[in-house]
Amino acid sequence: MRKTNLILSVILIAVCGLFYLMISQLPSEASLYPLFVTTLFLILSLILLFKTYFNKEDGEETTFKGIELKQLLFVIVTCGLYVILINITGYVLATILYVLITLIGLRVDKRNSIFISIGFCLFVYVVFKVLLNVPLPKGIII
Amino acid sequence: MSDMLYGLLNALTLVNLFAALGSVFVGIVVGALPGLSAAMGVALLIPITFGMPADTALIALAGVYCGAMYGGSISAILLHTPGTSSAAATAIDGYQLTLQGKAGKALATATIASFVGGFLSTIALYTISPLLANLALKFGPTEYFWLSIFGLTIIAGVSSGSMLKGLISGALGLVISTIGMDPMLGIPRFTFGQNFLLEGLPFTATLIGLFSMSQVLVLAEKKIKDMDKIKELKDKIYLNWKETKRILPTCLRSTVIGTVIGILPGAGGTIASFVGYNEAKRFSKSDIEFGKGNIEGVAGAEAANNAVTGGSLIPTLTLGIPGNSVTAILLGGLVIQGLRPGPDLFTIHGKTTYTFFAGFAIVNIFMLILGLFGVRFFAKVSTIKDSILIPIIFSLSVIGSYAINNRMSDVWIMFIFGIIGYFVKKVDLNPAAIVLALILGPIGETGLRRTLIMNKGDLKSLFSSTISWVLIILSVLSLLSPIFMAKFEKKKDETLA
Repeated sequence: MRKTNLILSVILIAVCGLFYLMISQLPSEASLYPLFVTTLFLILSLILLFKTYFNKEDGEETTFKGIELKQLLFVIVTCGLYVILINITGYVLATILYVLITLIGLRVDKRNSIFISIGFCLFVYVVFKVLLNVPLPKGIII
Repeated sequence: MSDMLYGLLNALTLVNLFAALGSVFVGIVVGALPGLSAAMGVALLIPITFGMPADTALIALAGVYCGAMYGGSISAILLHTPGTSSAAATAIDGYQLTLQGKAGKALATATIASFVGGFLSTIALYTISPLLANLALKFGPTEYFWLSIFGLTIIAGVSSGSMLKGLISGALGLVISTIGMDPMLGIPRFTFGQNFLLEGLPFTATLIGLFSMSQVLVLAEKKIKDMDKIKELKDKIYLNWKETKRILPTCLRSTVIGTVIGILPGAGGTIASFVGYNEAKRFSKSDIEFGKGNIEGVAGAEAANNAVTGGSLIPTLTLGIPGNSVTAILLGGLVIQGLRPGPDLFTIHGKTTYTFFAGFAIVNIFMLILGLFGVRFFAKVSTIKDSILIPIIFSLSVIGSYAINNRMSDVWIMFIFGIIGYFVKKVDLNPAAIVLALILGPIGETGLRRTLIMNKGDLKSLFSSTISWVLIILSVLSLLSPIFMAKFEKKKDETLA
């Protein structure tokens, strides 16, 4: 956990820096409260940094141990592409495609994948759009 | 009184009954699936209930909360994998019973105990909340400032491990909550030139990202395994009169324990179920059987964690300080419906609130019925593979984050906070504290700045009232609470060992 905490506190302090930069561009009467909370955040992050730095004995590094990185990245990328695709084709088409690709990518067998992706879409359309009147994202085409 | 009666009748309308039934069903499924959490379910439901009348929406949210709290016991008993962390104590004796071929007895016990706990905790909702809400009448801007500080210290105190990280999470949430227009001056802050950020981060989208999409990524990082086969459910889901009489005292005791722990900010279902289990063991005549498959153990844990649901809604509704992540999200749902926690809920919005309370009781009745008759179905559902859950949950997250404002930009916010939420979980920060700070931040900021404007910037005015001091003392106490919590944790470990 030590390495994770060190990296974490550095990132948090960098976030503080970013916010300080933006605060400096605000008129002074509007900057007081953000300045107050950002400073509070900075102080706590600094405490974490020092606490971790001076506490040498701190267990094994397990945070990202044994994760399936390829699979995780695959899921993140397909999710991102899915959102982009929705903008173009609208929710229904994009969803059938996305669910299908993700399922096959995660090694669900093909027949089940087709069945699930179409079934899920149908379910969403009927339950959300028709029964509950929840709007589904629209794209350029549909 | 008339509001109460109106609420009872209103909760019995077809729409509300349907909302209760449907949401309990969804809740049990969410709870039974070990990969999904109650917080996730409630977060996804908020946008769906957005278009409904406030009372129906609240009943639906409560339905998911109660259902999930109970559903966790199904996989705990059958698979020895608690569907939710609060069902961990249930697994101790529940799974032993399954191994002995008495899974039906264990499930029936869990169902009846959950019902007793949840149903009776409604009494606390009816009686204690109006009293506590009246207290909030005496609150001015200064008190609201301190109240939000108190709320933040609570959630920081219970955070997953390190108190410091809980506080950091809270502070991070506070910083993020300043995104958007300055509430007093109307000057845009940290909007990165994006117009849609002027009104602040879209709350629901942020929430769904932090709790639902992040969960998708947590599932995706693990090697996907086939779920264990459910042990055949041979015996009936049924308790005879003698067994019912045997678990009843335990149920009642655990209900009191769970309700009180639920009201206490910071402690939640997990602690309640372990305390309930321990007390059941201490009072039982057959305490040697504990750990080897005693239905009293199952009852002790399950009645307690379901009693937490009613108890935990009390500080959430009356003071706006939720004690756990689910009630923090529920509070968000309340605010989105245009309801502010506090005395107004029992006067101006009395009809809505009492409909909700009655609906809460009805939710528990449906939970009993679905549990006793549908448990085989839920048991099957609990073995759905993670590979199927991943795309489905993300797709639902997209609908949820889009539904409120009908903007794709909100979907991107969900996506970004999903990734942030994943790392937040990985490094042991506390997503519930971030969400709570997002809700309490603006309340605290407005309170602080009003106080300072009214008193021409005099900081001493923050410390002038008795209530302020009480809240300050409570905040300090809650910062010290990890010391008390450590004792509970020790007890819990002893139980598990």
